[in-house]
Amino acid sequence: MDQNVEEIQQNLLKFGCCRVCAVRHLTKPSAINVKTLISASEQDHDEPKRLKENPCIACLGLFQNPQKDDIINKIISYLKTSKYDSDTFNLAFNLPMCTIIRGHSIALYVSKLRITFNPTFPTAFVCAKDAWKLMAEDAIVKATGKRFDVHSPLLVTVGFHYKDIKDECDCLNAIIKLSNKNLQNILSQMDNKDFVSQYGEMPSVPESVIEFKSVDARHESVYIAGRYNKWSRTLSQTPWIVDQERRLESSVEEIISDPIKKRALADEFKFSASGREDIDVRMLGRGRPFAIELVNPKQTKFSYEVLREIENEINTDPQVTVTHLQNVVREQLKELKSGEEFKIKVYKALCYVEGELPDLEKLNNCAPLEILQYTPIRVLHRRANMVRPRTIHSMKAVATKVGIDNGCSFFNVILSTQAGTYVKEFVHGDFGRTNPCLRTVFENDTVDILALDVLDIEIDWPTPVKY
Amino acid sequence: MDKPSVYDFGIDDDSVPPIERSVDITENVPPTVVQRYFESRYATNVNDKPNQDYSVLIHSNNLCILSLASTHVLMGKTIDKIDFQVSGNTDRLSNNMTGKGKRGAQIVQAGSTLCKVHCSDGEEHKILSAIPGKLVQMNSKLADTPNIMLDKPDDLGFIAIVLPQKQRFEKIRDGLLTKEQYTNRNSTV
Repeated sequence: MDQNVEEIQQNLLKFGCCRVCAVRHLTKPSAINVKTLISASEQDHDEPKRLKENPCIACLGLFQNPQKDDIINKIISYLKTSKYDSDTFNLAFNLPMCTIIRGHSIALYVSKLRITFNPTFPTAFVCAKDAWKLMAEDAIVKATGKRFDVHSPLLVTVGFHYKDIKDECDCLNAIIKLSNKNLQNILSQMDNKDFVSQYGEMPSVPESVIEFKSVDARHESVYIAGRYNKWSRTLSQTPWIVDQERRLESSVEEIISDPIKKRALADEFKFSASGREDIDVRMLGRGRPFAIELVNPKQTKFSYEVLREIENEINTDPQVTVTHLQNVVREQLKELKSGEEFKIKVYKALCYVEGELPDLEKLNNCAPLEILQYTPIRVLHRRANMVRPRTIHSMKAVATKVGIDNGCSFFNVILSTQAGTYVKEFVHGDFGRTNPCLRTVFENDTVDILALDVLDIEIDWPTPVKY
Repeated sequence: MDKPSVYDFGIDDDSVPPIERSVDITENVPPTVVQRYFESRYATNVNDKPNQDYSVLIHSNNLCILSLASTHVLMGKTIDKIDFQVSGNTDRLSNNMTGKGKRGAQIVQAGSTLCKVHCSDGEEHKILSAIPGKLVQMNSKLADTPNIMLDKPDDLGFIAIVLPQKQRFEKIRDGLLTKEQYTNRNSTV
């Protein structure tokens, strides 16, 4: 250590710096030691007489009591009552701009006096938030049981209020535009002489103390994925709302989300799936992959048992069955979305013609089949009118009976299609706007569809759960 | 379609009704696409011209499909050619629009000419729009096979798809004859 460190420290104290700030301004960030800070703080508080004189010129009282303990207690009680289940936490401080300016001013002063330092550069020092976090960490960890971790998904943000912020920044605002972003950069690009001439050699002794304003927290999104079956022909995938009015009481999204909502206590739920089926289409087989993003969830730990519990609760609704419910990470969602556009879908369509059954072999022989499909009329009001090429990879038609004689002949078609193919329109042709279609293949204008089931979405996602 | 058995999750397949039993099928012939999703309306004597009669199929999403009604003046004739260049600078087949808002689409009024028909008997007739709105699609198939307009009017031979302005939709719909009114009118003529 340079010989004159002690001397500069004494000067800072004389100017009205608290002991913690005097120490951190003479310590490189890499050399910081919690014990040094704590002993400086203790020393300060052992001399209450000196303390009462003024709030520190560097931290505005952030390291001084009663503010310091008050802020720590506010953070602790917030974490204890807010229900976040994270084992870790990280802290962010929204300090008033003038604490940065004050720090810069002191750094310039220190670099000028330190013999072995370049006097034109402000000395690197331990910034107020880092020093504060180091000192407060232990108390918060002890009281909440949560570990401090800069990579924690739970970020606790503390806001402060300082009465004289405007006056203190205004003197610099006259020569340079200050902004909260990159304030440090703006200051370091400033000519030191300009800075000192506007601001003075040392920060003024504050008349008021920094005050605690708010504490808030945000947890990174958590994702839950699975596959769903839909057994109902009167249920939409997402809430069906037209002109702010609900058309159907519920939706797949809501049936799945509600039991998760109840447990996760998140701010927001974002449902996404590998495509969607129409209200009157069943989703059979192994189901459709889906994921739910829980935004700022409080409860994030879904054990195997809890996930099965959620499944069971969802599955009490006879319209929907959810399986393979599991935690996934954001990166895994790419697979889900790619499925929407690229993966093969397998369908079963119950079709009929008026009169005699056509030669079903005609259909079985024409796959793979390239078709051109205009945007179906039923969605044309909310999508652009475009013609898209689609591939029907395979088709198999089998005659069937429905137990009713109404002069029609019935058959099932099992077909696998490129994602994005509108199957109902491929059956009846949508006023000739999907071509070819079953009507053109059978050369029969009465071919139509009665019911449609999705048998499979050919994506192996998410990872199967062992039951 | 064998799936990896890892995905079996013990749903009793027998509990899922087969597709034939998953929908109601009546003793009658099932309703067609048109009957299922469209309300059938009619406009007669458009522009006060006799037998300028059109069918307007209104989808539940307000899109309207225009076609010739069975009492249209062209019924029973043979079409030689359809001309889509309805004026010096309007070609109904080059109707470019962008996006879901169909920006740039041609706007038609009730009575606007959609195309001109040349018949084998030498007569020429204008095909008129029965309602005002955005011309979303002109049936381009009519260029090569004009007579589908007469043979399959409510299917391959539709004339055009028009989207009425949302605020005027109900007024426009209520100005058209219902199927019942149209049938009654025909039986009294």
